[in-house]
Amino acid sequence: MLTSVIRFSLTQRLFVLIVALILMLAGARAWFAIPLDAFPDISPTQVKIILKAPGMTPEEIEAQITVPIETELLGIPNQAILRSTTKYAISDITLDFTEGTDIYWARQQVSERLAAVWDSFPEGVSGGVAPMSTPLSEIFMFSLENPNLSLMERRQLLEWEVRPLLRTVAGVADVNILGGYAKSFSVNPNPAAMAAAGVSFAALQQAIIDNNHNEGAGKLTIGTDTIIVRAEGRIDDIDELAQLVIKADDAKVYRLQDLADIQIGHLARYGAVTKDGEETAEALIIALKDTNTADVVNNIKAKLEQISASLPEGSEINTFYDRANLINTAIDTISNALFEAVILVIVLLALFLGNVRAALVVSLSLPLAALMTFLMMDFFNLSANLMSLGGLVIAIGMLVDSSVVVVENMVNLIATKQRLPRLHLIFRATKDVAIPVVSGTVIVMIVFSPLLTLTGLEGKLFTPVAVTIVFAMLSALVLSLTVIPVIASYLVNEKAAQEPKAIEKLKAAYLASLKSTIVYQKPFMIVAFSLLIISLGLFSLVGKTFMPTLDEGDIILQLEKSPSISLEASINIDKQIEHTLLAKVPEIKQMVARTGADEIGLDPMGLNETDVFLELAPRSEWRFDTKEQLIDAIRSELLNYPGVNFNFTQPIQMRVSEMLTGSIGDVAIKVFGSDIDTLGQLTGQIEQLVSATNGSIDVKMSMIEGSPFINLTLDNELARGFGMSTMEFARYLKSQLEGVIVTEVLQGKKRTPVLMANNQSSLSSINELQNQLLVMPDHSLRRLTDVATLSYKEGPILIEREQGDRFSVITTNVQGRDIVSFVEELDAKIAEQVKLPSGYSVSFGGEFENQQRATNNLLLVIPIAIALITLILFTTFGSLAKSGLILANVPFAMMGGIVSLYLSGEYLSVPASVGFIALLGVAVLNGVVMVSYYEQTKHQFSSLLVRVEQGAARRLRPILMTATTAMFGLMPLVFASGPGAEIQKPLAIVVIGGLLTSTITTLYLLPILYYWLEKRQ
Amino acid sequence: MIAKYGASLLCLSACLSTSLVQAESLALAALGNLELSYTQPQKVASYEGSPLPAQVDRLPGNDYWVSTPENIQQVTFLVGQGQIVTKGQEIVRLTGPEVFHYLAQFEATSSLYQLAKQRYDRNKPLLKNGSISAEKWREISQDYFSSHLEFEHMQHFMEMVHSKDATTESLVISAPVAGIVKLNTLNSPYMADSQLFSLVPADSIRVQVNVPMSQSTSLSAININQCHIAIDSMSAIADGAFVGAWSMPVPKECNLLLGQQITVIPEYQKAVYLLPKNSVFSWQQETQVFTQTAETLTAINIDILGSTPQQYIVASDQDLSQIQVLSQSVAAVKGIMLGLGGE
Repeated sequence: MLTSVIRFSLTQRLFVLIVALILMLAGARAWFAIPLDAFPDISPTQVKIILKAPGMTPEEIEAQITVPIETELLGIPNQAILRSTTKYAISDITLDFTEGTDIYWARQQVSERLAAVWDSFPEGVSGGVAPMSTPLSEIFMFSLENPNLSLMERRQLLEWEVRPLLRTVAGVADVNILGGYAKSFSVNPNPAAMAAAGVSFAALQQAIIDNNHNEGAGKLTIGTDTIIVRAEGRIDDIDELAQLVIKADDAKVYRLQDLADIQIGHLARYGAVTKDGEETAEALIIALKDTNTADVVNNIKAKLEQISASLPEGSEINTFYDRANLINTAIDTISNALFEAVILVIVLLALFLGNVRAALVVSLSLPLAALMTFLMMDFFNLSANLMSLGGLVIAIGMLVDSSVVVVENMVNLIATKQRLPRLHLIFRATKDVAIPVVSGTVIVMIVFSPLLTLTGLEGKLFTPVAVTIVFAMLSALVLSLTVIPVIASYLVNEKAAQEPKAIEKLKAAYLASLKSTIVYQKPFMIVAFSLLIISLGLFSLVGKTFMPTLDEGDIILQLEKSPSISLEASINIDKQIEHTLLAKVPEIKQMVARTGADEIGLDPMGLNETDVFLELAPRSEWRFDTKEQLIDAIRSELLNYPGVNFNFTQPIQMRVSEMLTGSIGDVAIKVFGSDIDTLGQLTGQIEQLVSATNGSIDVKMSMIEGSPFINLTLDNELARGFGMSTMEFARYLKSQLEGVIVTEVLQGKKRTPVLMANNQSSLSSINELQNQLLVMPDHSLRRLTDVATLSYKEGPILIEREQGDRFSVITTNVQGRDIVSFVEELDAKIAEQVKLPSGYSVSFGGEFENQQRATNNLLLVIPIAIALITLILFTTFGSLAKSGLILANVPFAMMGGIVSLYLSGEYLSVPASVGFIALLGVAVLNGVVMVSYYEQTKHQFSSLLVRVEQGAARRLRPILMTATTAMFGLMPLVFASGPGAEIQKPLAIVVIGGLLTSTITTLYLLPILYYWLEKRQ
Repeated sequence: MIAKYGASLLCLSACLSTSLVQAESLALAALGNLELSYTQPQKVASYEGSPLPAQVDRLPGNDYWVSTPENIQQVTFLVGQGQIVTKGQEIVRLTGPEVFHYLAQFEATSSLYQLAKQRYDRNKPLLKNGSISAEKWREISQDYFSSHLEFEHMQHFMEMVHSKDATTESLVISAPVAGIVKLNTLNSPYMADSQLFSLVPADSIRVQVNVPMSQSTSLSAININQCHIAIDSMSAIADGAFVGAWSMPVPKECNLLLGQQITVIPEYQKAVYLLPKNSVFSWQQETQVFTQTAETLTAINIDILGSTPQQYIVASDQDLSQIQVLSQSVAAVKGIMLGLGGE
């Protein structure tokens, strides 16, 4: 079949060229059509439920909301893990499904289960299934600046003018508005007036609800016409609200304004936003899962430009996070690497082939293969991102291999000056190497197949790498057997057959050194194997980690303050820090800080928690060379603010970590158990052990206990005398402290909640709370302390659960050592020093968990891949011994990888492991090139030694070409410094190092081993 | 090296055990670059407490009551409810046959009284000289005093009659004293002895407030909007957990109406301090402030009695008027006490 394909290509050259041209144009179009993103979609099929229960404590929410939902959700099939976090007033439940589960099916399942338990929730619970987003969905953030507008006005603008318009942009899942004040019409009941009027709190509330309605009454037929009738009563503004009749009897009309103080107020604030130390309001745009991020961001920007024109004068949309920047930088980084790799490879080809025409023919396979790869990526909906394009860069060196072999064979055949038509020679040359080319390509594809078995984050990241490599290799293979021979038929001539003089000299030098090596083969072997053993020793010294930290360009500074801090005090500290950093660290362009929870509840932080987005100036303006140095400078300033914990992260890194483990950190130590106090004690003990373990930094313990509560217990005997129930008492309390939204006033597209609330400033001490007046259901007036008993209690601040069990977590980052050894040491310490009560257990998660999973996966799949390669080799050479001979090259390739990893200071990570996998293929290919030639020339040389020496010399050029093109193809990744380069760097270092040693062993060790083998036979 | 919540908890428990014996102290040098500012608590002699329900009421026993002597067919009030009237001002017109009957009855009673008086006066000398028997004199005296009483009774009412009109069978009653008129409006007929109206002397209009017993002794005045009224008397009998207090007469400029249900701000006479709200923090169920002494901050307990929008009204065992209280970065300093800080 291969012969037919080659024959057809060479007989229908014009047709092939036209088809190639069409494919190239289609490939170019595909490049512009492929969705662009910084990273592949790494999220699992995940559904989040976010419920708000204002005023409820974590324990109450857990008992009444979280547990019932979890119990219901546990029955859903295909679920991977069920997690929940319950805090004051919020329950955040996350359900991860197994790979391949349809997100819409999953959401429907969760929605149905949620609906089934909804009626059992306490009143006032709101929320539901969160927007269909991923941790990477926060793609654009901006604040609205206008010194002429109040914070409430800014928020109103964002909420009712900007948000609805942005939600019309395709791909936008939601727009989260944060900061400022959410406007409300506040109704502050006057207990004395209500008591005098005989109106209870409940009656007042119900009257407002009942009267704010427009109801359709039906139709009235008048003669031949039918007219719609409706009952109108909806409140249109605050004046109408004030005039609302609450009670009318005995000619006495009590309006709302007679019984309550009505004013424009705001909802209880759960968070705030500051920009450069001043409060502001911001919008956070969340993209839908599986959208083209680059397109969505562009459309958002276009929409914002439209919106800006209609905003009040002086308004400015201040963008402080734009994912497009990261996408562009990352794509630029990888595109530059790709471009540089192509140039380097072309130069190398020209040098090795010594002929521009031949080099051009081989080089043409690079852009052509790349364009065909784009075409396939587009067809299979694979986005262009750091990983998929990285795969292409990795493959660049190998892409030319097929064409090199084909063209090299052509020029060699043409050099024989046989009296045959050149087209026929090209056909024969191509046909001769077709099978080794196909088997070589298949070997490379098999080598990368283990990557397709990776699961979790590593699977999401490296599957696109493997798929792109497979696409690229397939393209290169097809091109080498079709288009390349056709182009070669036009361009390659007899001049191309002449070897460059430099290569001839190199060959002579190599031959001399090989002869010496064969003479002194024993010392050489001893040195080689000694180095191999040493490298194994070095392997244990190489640090191990899951994934290198990607530089996203931005920094998020996380601040954590006293757990019971008020929002105002929290903001005050934030402002101090912001002012200081802006003054002392000029690299910070602007800072936007988010304190507390967001409106939707996607990020339910406490009032004591702040995420500060640091927008940095261009690197050219920095005083520092690296981001780490900049972080050190910020760190030294922050250390001057005692009483505040801080941590550094990045926007995507933060969300990915939360997605993976529900907590942030390299290692998460989870303590499972039921009793909060016991969990707290155990967590405290383990946290001390973690802190004392070498390498731990950023140690954090989830503070699950110690939140002070004020318990108000209704004195039932007394309260019942007045007809007061606990429910009514609780409602009243809520209205006095939190505020209760009773209805909404519709004003055009704006909805303003009517809030039953006390004037917040009047209740700010226990004494005032105790003396707060209550209108009892019998309309008498009592102080709160007359009907209820006040006591203090400590309860959990938050309750975290996994698979239905409570747990507390200690997270830590690991610096200066590998995570695996850190976890091993820590595990031993815990087993030795912490006595776990019955029913309590400890487990390790975080990046460590992913690394273990990745390692286990690779340890299972790589041997299978090696077995498959052995099978192919055996099929090719018909000898298990020769297959083993080729595979013997693999450990020496690994040796180079380990040494280079050690020398570069990089850790053994998933990308480095991928590098080792790639080495496997290249090392085998080199061996195949050498051994196949020996086998082909078996009858050309009478002396085995001569055959080994001459054969090696003949294969020097192709081996060097394939090795150097692969090495130099990856070289740009080693020196790339932009975002995204970090993840490819270990891979490139491993492959380059490995190729170096494997090339040496292919050129020296393999001939010796082949000689030994043949001699014995 | 690392700030941790574990340390926080340990500190928390350690602090719990030590706080009972000594106040928390922190060296100023340990506060790094935190912005610190101090406020000297303002000592005041009185403070405003939480709002209390109150009612504008009349001091019991000071009302002047006016009733109708007969069943009245028509009662027409000539002044508005709660109007301040002067002595002699027309208040109500009573109309109907019974009014005519009453006037006629008054005439008859008057004549009978004159007759009885004449008889009494004439027989008085006769009793002295023994011309009439004691039994007869007793009868004459009884008749005289009886008619006198009846006449006086009717005369008192008639003194309030401002005018009478026989043609319309009506009479107009005027105010016997100055004060606030409280009309007794009935939907049913006014029967004899029914109250027509009462007059409340202006100095009887007071604010009646129920004050929590624990604070009753220090209650000195009440504030209603911009109106300040001192407390006049305090009941010696408790009503549950409350004690009733009466204010001084309500000044006219307070614009309070009799019977009005109001919420008043009590003013307690007690030496207290005013502190910025952001200087106060909670620590182990106690309310505390940081006071500066030399190069250290020391946490001391305070008792919050009330608040204004910006300040707390606090009491303390210590004299706070001469010391500086930390009023900025308090939450961060508390964070230090919890063991927070660092990466």
